[in-house]
Amino acid sequence: MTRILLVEDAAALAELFAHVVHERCGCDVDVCVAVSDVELFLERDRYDLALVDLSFPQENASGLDALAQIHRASPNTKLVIMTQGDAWVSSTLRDAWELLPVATVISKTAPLDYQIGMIERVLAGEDVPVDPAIQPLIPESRNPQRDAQRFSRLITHNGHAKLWNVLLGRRLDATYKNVADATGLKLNTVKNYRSQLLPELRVHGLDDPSLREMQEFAWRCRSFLLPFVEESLNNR
Amino acid sequence: MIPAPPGYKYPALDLSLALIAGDQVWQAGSAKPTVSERTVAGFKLVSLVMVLIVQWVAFAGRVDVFGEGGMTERDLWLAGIGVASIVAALVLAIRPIALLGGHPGTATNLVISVTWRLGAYLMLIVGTAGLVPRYRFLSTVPLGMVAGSDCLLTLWTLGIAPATRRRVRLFAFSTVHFGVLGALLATAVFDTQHATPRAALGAYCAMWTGVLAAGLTISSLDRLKSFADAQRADERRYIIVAEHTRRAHWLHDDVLSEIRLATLRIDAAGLDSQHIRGELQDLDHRLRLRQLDEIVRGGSPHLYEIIQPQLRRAQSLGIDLYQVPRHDVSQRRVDERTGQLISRAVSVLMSNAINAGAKRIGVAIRQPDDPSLLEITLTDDAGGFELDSISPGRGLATLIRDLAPGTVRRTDAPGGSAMTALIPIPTNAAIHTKERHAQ
Repeated sequence: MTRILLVEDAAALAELFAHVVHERCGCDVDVCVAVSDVELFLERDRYDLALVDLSFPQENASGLDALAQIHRASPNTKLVIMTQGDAWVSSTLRDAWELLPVATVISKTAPLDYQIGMIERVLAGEDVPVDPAIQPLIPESRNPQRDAQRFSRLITHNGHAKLWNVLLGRRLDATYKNVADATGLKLNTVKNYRSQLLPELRVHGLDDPSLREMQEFAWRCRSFLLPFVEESLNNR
Repeated sequence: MIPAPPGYKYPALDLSLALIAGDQVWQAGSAKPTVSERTVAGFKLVSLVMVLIVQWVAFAGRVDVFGEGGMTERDLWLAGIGVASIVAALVLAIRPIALLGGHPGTATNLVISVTWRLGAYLMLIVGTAGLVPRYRFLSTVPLGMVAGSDCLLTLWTLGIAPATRRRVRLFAFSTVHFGVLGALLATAVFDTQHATPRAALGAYCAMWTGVLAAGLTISSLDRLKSFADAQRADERRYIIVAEHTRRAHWLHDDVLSEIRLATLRIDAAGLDSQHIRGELQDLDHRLRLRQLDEIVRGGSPHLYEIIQPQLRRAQSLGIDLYQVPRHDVSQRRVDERTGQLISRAVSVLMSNAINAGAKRIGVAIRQPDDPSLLEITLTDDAGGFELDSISPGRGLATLIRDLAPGTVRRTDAPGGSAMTALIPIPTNAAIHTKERHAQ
């Protein structure tokens, strides 16, 4: 039987939706209400499709983390985003769309029949366009330069890894002084590292970002950035 | 996250170089300068003017330009120094003028900045020392004010607390200062004419006057910023409390009353499940419009946020949305007034198509050649109609009246109409600007 993993923090809604999908599509649906639990589900089972919400305000994580984790553990699982599609999640949605092979995006507010129809078509292997209410948030074509491996170019030496490692700390107020203090680098070195990264950051849609904007980006895309940071720091 | 290395101390030379290099070297991002930064930039400009006034008043007192003998070779030298000072001041004024104008600029090279700025400051010092014959120590006050405001801008950009007293104390006990004192002592011991020690003592006093003026400038302006920040934080707290109260009221007055209304209508009419679903869809749409009101009131909504409730409404009614605005256009932000106008236009055009029985609708937004307009086109398959025959008082007639004649057009489309509305948009104002975070 086809297996679906539904990652959604609104437990009551998720259970009800899972029940409807089970009834209408004849699939087994597991409900995971926290990004931190995704790993447990992936250890237990393989899924044909993952339906993932993007916003998890109660957790220190986002749907992008869940999607990246699922894709890493099970590359054949079809990824579908289910979201409100508002300004709050627009950057995360765009990152997910560009960095992962997301099959389609379903609007949470679309009629139930429409949502079920989209899921059935994805399971049938069809090319399913993104929900019309969400389409204006997503570029017409994916940026061909941007993929998960591309994050390695943001760490060309150990100094960059130090810088990103500090910026990945969400509580740090990312001023030159604080970053220099936390990394142990000189002010001018921090400035030089930032300048070296600017051309590559443009690929990720950041044009001359401040350190705070780089911190926000690092946090949002940590699932892709952190492995390269850790690799560089462990190899020093 | 890597913790700061144990016992790590901020390298003094690193900070000195950072300060000499100036704030533009550390510029990161495109955020506009804050009010505090602009104030300090203005203060620096005024101080630069004061430096030049002091120099040229002193020059006028020393040189009789219109005298019988004309200007001597020494006078010409002094005039040359004065002109070089003006050039140095003009070069140093470029950055504060840009900040005052709201231009953050792009980061410059550290070595180049250190070189030219050091040259400009040395020129101002030489100008003051060369042109001011007496009370030189007082003439360094405006110089100290220039340097102080300059340092403060850099400290804020780097995110370093000024801690003026500590830095003055560090300078007083630094090897540089003790070296200067040693040299002063040596001239007093070895120069029996006492001319050199007197001059050196004058320069020493001038140096300290400048350092103290700079310190006072930094601490005063930084304290002013702290007051302004505290006041802004108070205002923010007040706004947050007011906003929470408003939202609580909004939940009661709008959301709950809408739900109550839908419940009463369902109860009163004894509706079946299909009609109840219709009622709930209506309720959903009304609440989304209220949500949009909140977003538009925020001041700079994206175009996609404005059209989304209408797209969702059409979708919930089973209408096939075969075309929606492209990502590059819909990411654009507009001001509150334009947002309301676009929302109204899309709502009217969409309602018109839905009421006429459209089964397929396409929505497009385009920037025409005229940058002061935005073109919204809604195409449907609901058959045609005569735009002139719209009776007054209907939504479309009111929209046409409000948008000015000729700005709403109807053309034939396969099986229906293509309605185009031209919305006036402001072209001069930056809709969404990033304020630099307060340090």
